[in-house]
Amino acid sequence: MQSFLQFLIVGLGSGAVYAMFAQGAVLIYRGSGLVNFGQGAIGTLAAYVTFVDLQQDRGVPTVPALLAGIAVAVAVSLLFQWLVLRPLRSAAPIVRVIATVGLLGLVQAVVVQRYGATTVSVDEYLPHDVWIVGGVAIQEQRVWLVAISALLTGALWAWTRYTRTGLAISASAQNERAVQTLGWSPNRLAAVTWGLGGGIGGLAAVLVAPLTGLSPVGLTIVVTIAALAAALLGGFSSFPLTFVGGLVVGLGEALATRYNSDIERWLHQSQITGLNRAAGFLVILVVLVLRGRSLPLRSHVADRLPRLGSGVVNARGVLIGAAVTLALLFGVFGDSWAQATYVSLATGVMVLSIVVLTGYAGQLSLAQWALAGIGALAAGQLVRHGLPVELAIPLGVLITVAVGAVFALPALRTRGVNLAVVTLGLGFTVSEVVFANGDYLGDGLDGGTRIGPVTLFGLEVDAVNHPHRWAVVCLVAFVVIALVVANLRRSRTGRRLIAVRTNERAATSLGISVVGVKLYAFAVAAGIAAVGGILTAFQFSVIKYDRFDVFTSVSQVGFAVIGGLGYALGAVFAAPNAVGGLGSEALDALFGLGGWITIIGAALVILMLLANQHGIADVVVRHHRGRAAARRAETPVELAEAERVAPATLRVAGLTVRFGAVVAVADVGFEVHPGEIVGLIGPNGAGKTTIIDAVTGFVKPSAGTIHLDDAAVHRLGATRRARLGIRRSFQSLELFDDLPVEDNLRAGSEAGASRISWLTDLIWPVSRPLSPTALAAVRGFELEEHLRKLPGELPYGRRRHVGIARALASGPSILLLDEPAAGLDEAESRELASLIRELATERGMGILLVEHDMPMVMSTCDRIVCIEFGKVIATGTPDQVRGDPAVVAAYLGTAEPESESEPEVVDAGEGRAPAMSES
Amino acid sequence: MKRRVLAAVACVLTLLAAACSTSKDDADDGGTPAQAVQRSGLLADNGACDSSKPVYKIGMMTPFQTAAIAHRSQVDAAEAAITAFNSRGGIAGHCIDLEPCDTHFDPNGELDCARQFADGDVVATINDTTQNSADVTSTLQTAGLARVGGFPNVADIGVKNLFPIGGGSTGNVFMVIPPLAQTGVSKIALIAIDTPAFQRVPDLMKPMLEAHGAEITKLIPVAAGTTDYQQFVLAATDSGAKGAALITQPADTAQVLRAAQQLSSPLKFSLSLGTSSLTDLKQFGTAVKNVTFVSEVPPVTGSRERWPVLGDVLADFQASGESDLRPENVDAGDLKSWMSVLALVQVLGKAGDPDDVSRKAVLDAFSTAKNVDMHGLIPSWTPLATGPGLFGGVSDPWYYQVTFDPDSGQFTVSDKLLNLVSEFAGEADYAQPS
Repeated sequence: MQSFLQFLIVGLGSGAVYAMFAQGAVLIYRGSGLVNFGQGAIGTLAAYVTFVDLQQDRGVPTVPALLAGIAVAVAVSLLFQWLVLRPLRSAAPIVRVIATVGLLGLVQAVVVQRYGATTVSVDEYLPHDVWIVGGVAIQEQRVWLVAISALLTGALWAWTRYTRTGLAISASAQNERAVQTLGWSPNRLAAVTWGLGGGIGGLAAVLVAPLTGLSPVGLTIVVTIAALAAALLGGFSSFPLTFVGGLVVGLGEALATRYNSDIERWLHQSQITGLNRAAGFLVILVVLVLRGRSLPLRSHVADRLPRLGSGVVNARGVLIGAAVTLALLFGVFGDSWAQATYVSLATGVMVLSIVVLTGYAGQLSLAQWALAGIGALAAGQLVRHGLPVELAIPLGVLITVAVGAVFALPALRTRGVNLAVVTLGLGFTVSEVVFANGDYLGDGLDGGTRIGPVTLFGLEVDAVNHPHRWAVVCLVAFVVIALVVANLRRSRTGRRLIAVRTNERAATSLGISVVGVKLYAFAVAAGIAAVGGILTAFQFSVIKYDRFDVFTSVSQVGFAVIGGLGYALGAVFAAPNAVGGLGSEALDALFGLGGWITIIGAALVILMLLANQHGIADVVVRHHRGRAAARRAETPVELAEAERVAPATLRVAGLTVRFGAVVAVADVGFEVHPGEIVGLIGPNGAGKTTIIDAVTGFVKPSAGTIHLDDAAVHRLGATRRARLGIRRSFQSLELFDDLPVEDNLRAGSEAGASRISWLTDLIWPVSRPLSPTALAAVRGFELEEHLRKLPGELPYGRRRHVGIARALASGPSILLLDEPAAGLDEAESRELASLIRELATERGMGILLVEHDMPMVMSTCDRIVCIEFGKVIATGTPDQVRGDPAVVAAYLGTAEPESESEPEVVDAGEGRAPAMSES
Repeated sequence: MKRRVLAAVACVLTLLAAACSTSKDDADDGGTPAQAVQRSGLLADNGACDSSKPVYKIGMMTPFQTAAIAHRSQVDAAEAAITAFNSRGGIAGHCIDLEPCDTHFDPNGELDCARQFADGDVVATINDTTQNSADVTSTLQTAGLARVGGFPNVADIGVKNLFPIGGGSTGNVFMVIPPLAQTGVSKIALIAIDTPAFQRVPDLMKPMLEAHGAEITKLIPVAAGTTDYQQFVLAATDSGAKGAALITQPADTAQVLRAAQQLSSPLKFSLSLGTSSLTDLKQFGTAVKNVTFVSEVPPVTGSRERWPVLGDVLADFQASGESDLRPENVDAGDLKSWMSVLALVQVLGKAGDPDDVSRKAVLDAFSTAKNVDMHGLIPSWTPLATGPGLFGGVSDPWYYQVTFDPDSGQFTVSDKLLNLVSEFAGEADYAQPS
């Protein structure tokens, strides 16, 4: 028991430190929506200034030195926010996160250059008596750390809750524009959070320095892994929960050290490595996954990502590029440059995996390099056990694909920054538990997997003795994978990935399985990463795994952003940035930079992001885009006549939806028959959208049934219901802004594609024309001239049409329209009403129409259901509902005296209904 | 936007300027000049080398300055030694030239350096530090380059072109046990870097432990980025150990010892002196009084009565003017650089034809040399060893046992040397070198 308590105290002390670093990270995130990867490096700089420059070298007393060090942290943070983040305000969040990675690299490199790599011990300056209580030694210093951390937590909580600035900061993270309209400057708020957050990081660093000593990388590791894990438990928003998270991580570490042997015995393992580092993180991971949601809430705003490429392959460019590379390799390059070439190409392959996973599917995973290591380990072990390399490599890739699907599991319940940090932790756990365990690697004392010189199809290609040949192997792999990635972009599967990237809810509403897409993206990306890992690891006769660290994973995402995250071509520009790659070789050869390369490289990352946030490939491609667009625009679109849909009746009975104690919808029932338009009206907050959400599967009802004809669908997921023929539009449009209109419509009609297409699309993406139903939607909404445009280029009304056309594209039996006329003028509303009527009468669709535009509702609908406070208060024909006193009282209000003009009649063929006069 | 980019560039340049000045800049040193160190007179002084004769081009691959490890001082030490020995006649009148190569602590960087040496006109290498040993070893072996001194790893041991001084990092791992066992500590915890290589170590230590009647109570891994080191000391105590052998990075070593001090831990410690300088040792706190160090070479600031030639070492370093070669900053790695150059002079100067400045001649000279006089820094040395077992190729298996008094700043070196090969084989009784 004594021992347990002793470890508990140790864990609380380190946990308090993690919590402090985490609070700084949480504050910055709350104020600017960014995870600051440079937090640890800034703290490190502050600590070195305090204890080396001031205290050691100049004899400055402790307190002034501490304050000065913290001031340095504040200054660096503010400078970074002003010079880098402000210009990148409109950039995608991932670009800004990568900028913080550049900050990490730059500050760390400066620290190394100025202070060297030698650790500096720091004397304790907090009171450090030891109290013995019940045989347990309690160190006063640890108590101080916990107390300071708790005080800081309380202060931050109170500040963000009870002060105007604090509240404004929290609000700014939710909606910057809204805060701006209230008179707050988002720039000033961001500056406050960055300054304060940086200062907290500096404070934490100077407090922890006596425990850890000063080293260039120590605090970076602490912050990146332990502190972010604590922030994750706090949801990057709650200071008290973050404090608890820090303690959990610290305690987990200490107790895992204490009980490591016991855990090994319990699990019948000769050794388990890394458990102390991974323990806390794994607890947090489980909590998050349990607490997460498979679909984002209605309020969720997907993070923007950099622009996407088209995936169109310039065959001539590929051939010329490959030829030039080969010519350089065998005509010009000596061994050093050949080595730099294959190092770059292997990195290029890694970048391609990130393009697929993050660029196309929008999943920010920082575990790709760990997966690369898994691929190297799998293939390496197979070779070590006698399998030919030609077989070991594809098998190693397949094994990694399976592991990648497992890595996808957190992505099913988390997203955005949470996913990034969770995958960072996963990658870290793999490197600590798997790559540090000799039992998994090999039986040599060298701590690696011995594979010997590599031969391929009888040809010696080992990089040590034949660097040029290995470079050719890497070139072939890179070109093939780049083509596969480009194929994916142009394919149905690629559209699914991009749909999920842009808007998971909208994707689900079209029958796209978000789970399936994420699993697929992780699996394919893992396979590509495995190739990258094998190309890297098989350069040597003994594979060492310490190089497969999380920080390299983060750097590679940075390379991908610089090259162009949404472009397969981006990998070409990203690849030379690799450590030991063509870029550093060239810089060294031209300028002899030596040890300055790291600093220059980190600075270049930041400057390149400032110059173009969409990446170098975007700049290169853009001037071709106009010509390509003109060429595509010349291809005529053959329009088709509408076909009738499969008729089906939607029956909703006893529908009840609860959110906690709030009953949002109570015992609602209605039917929508083929060819019928049913209006759903009611005041704001009545539950109309909730009903649509419940019918389409976005919200789980507490009671009630939903049938499509005789099939009960209320237990099915949203994707399944969409595929059965229930489609919807959204109030907030929720278009796929990264896809042109044509591809938005394709996404709407391709959900039923065969499963084999997930594979065949990688090799041969078939270009099918738009389905007849989609083409009919194009005709109906007059979108012919807009097919190649991005939704953002269209006026609002047209974007509404795209949203509806997309929902129609697969020819659903039941269509639910959520305020389709919102924001339209009178003429557009009338046009829309006419189209809706046509859908019902010409195509036999059953339509549920939620609208506040009463003339449109009364003139278009066959029947109307009126709800208030989640309950049906009236149902009937438009005339019946219009005259219902309950409806008048709840929603319509007192009717104005009728005008002398005749009521307008909407002529939509059959099923005409008189328009209600304006009131 | 353009203004911001320019401002960002200005900021980066400011940071670069800050990086340019080190915290201990020689130019800023306003202290009194160091006293000239007295030389031993042991080293022959034949006047400056003859620059008209063919030059012995010597390579040295090591990470100069990275976030994790920095061996720039070893390069400086090699350059200082070469300058000094050149002034004393070089290698039989031939000048020596150093071609250092920065590996950046990266396996590709190491391979690049190895290829550079293999393809260039370097005739030998000294004091290499590599982690990608297998491929570097094979490249340099194929090229027929003699590798003198250095930190041999597992893959290096037993190769015929490697002439290490001491057992390197691998040898250091095992030699931390005997000092504890000899003082009656039979229960020993291993606090080690959390890497796969060290997990095999307890099994390999069995013969040694049995010979001393000792046991490993627990292997305690130390992960990178650790915050609180007390957990490792507590884990060691918890396991029933009375002593702990530290196989850790210098950064972690200091913190473990300070944690032990904070806990008033009675644990005795043993670790390699490694690349710890006087300045580093002062950071270990008072717990250093409970530490026995093992070292392949004497402490550089050790007794000049016992090792008079240390005066020449320090004088050569002082003459270079490099701050990292000041007495308080030098370490065993720097000394090994100097000793590697001494080895070149001693072996090649007495070789069959010193005027044959070729790889083959250098390799042959080292392969056949016997009882090389290293002026007492290590026992009389026969560079090539071909014995059996993991350390059969370690030609200099002798280790010093060192303690340090933080109050006086003085080292005490035991008269009894430890023999790596014998200890590893489980033979605790062996004759001391003459």
